[in-house]
Amino acid sequence: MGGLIYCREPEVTEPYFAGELGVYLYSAEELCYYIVNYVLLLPQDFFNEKLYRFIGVELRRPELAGKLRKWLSQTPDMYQGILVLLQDIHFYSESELLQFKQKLDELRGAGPQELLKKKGDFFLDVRQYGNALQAYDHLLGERGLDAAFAARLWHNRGVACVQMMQMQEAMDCFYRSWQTLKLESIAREMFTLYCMEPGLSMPEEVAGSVSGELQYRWKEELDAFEKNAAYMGKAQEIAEVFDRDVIRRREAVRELLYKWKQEYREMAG
Amino acid sequence: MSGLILGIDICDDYTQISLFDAEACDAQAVGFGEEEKVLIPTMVCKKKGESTWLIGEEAYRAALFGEGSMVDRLVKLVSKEGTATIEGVMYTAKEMFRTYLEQVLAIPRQKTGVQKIASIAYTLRQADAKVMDVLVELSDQLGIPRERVHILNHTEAVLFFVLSQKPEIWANQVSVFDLVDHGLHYYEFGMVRGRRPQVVEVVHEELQEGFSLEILETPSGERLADRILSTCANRLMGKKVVSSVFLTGKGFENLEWPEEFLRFVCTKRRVFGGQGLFSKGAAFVAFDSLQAVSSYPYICICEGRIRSQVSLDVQYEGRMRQLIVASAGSNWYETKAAVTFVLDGTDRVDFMVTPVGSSMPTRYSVELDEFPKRPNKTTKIEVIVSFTGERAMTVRVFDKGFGELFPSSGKMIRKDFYI
Repeated sequence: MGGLIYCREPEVTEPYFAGELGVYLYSAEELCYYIVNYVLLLPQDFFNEKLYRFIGVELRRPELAGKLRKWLSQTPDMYQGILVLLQDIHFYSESELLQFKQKLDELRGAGPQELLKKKGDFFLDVRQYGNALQAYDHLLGERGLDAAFAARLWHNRGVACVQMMQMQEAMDCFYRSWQTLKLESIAREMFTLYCMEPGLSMPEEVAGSVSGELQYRWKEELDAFEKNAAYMGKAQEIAEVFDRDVIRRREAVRELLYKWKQEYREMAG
Repeated sequence: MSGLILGIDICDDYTQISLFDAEACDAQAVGFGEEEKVLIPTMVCKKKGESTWLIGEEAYRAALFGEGSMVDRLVKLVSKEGTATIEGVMYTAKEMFRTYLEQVLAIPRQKTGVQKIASIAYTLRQADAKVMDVLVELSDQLGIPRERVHILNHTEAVLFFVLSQKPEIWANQVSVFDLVDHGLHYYEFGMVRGRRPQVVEVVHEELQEGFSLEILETPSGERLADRILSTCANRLMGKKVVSSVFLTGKGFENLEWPEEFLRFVCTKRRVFGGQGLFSKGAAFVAFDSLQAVSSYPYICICEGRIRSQVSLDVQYEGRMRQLIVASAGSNWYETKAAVTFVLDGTDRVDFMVTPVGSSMPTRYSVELDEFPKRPNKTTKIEVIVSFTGERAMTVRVFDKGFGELFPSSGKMIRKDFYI
């Protein structure tokens, strides 16, 4: 369909607190978006009185609140309840809901370990690295993990450590992953880490598995990337701030620092 | 609802008040002063050495006897945001107009003993946004909230006055002649047949043949004026089927002088003469605004009214619907819509403008390129549609973000359209 989705409700007076994200939701549309995009974060008791009150009173949909309450008291299937809610609000189209339903079916079919890994990976995607580490550590503490599964966990744990500037820890994680998977892509990540962080050493076994020519090419590509990095991402944000006049620059620097601090707090969990 | 239902016609020369009688379902002119005159000169006079302000004939008399300083043409003064200096003190037009309006409103209040105003409709010769804004503001200051205040121009007042008469009076066309100090105005009311909902139209023309009322002070002047009116009537009504003719304005206070003109207009037509036509039309509107369902289920086309329907195609409850943000025939000053949407795979807002009687809409778009790029369905916008004239539509689109998930950029895009 596409176009403009008409929002009938006025903004609420008492928003719903989505504790897993640390944000308040003010409308039915935001609630739908939160559910669809952060379904892995939803706690098992997501359908509770707080949510029913928000839907019934604040969103002025008492029939939906009643329907969900009744449905979930008879069939305690959270994913089914989610679909009922999304269908009633009509924020997502039929095709979007069908896709989401497939995702729910996948989650339903996944074992507890796979589910927890997905959750960790999701935290990684949304840059909540502290929470990602917690999920991976929890899983890695379990006994009898499949070796390849554990290697993938070590790899992703390594990525989270890099983002949190724990370089030595990251190198160790990548090495443990490489020992099982023997992937060139992991060797390259370790090589990059080695180049970026003075004092780190590359395990001989890994270094020996990559030809000198390939290492030379990786180094060239890294140098090119570092040069370009001065004009991308956060460097670009700073450049834009310093393009402003003195008064606006001070204000913009303050805003930027606040934003980065906020991001870091969320990252560190 | 208890309270007065008023229609007030405020012109630069005279003001007229009509009070709606809900039981009789009719509007009556309200007189002022010892002689109960319905034409109140639109002027104020501050008495010398006192803080007393007089209005109307009393103001005129006081100024004539040198008892105070008079300020007239208040509507024009407000429009120009003018001032007047009296006894060394400068008064703004708005201040003087407030004094005037307060005393005008006191007239029906004193007569009826009822203080509360349930609904009021002002009518002005022409819709002037500045004067209209001042009227709304002053009414609010005088205890009448915005939702109870309506403003229309004379053409609209004619339309509602005629529609409030018995249907046989407007079975065919209706002509209204308004003869005032500064000119001769002609209004022609007609119904466009064969459309649902029915369309009624009033066309206003300020005739070039207008003359000063001073010429009526001599017999030869009266004869000349009569000839001018007859020529106009012949030209305007000669080949048309006119059911009724209304004669109003200071020039028609006395109907003895225009013999030839009356002979022509009275042939096979009903003719009514009298004052308060516009204020009565306004009073009918004031009453109608209090009803759950309007007594005028028509599309009203005239000066001051929007000639097209403005709508948007939107998704609601999972289906495509047409959302009307401005109805054809609505008063431009009172038409304002604020609606909220979430953008779904689009970065523009398309308005469909459909003129009355046409099924072919024209598309007007507002591009939202300046808004930050976000994932699909995470930009909420507030669209405010308002009018600064019957064809001048202003659209403002505000970026509302998407709650705390995607904060608003605070940006606003404004676009003006001539529709």
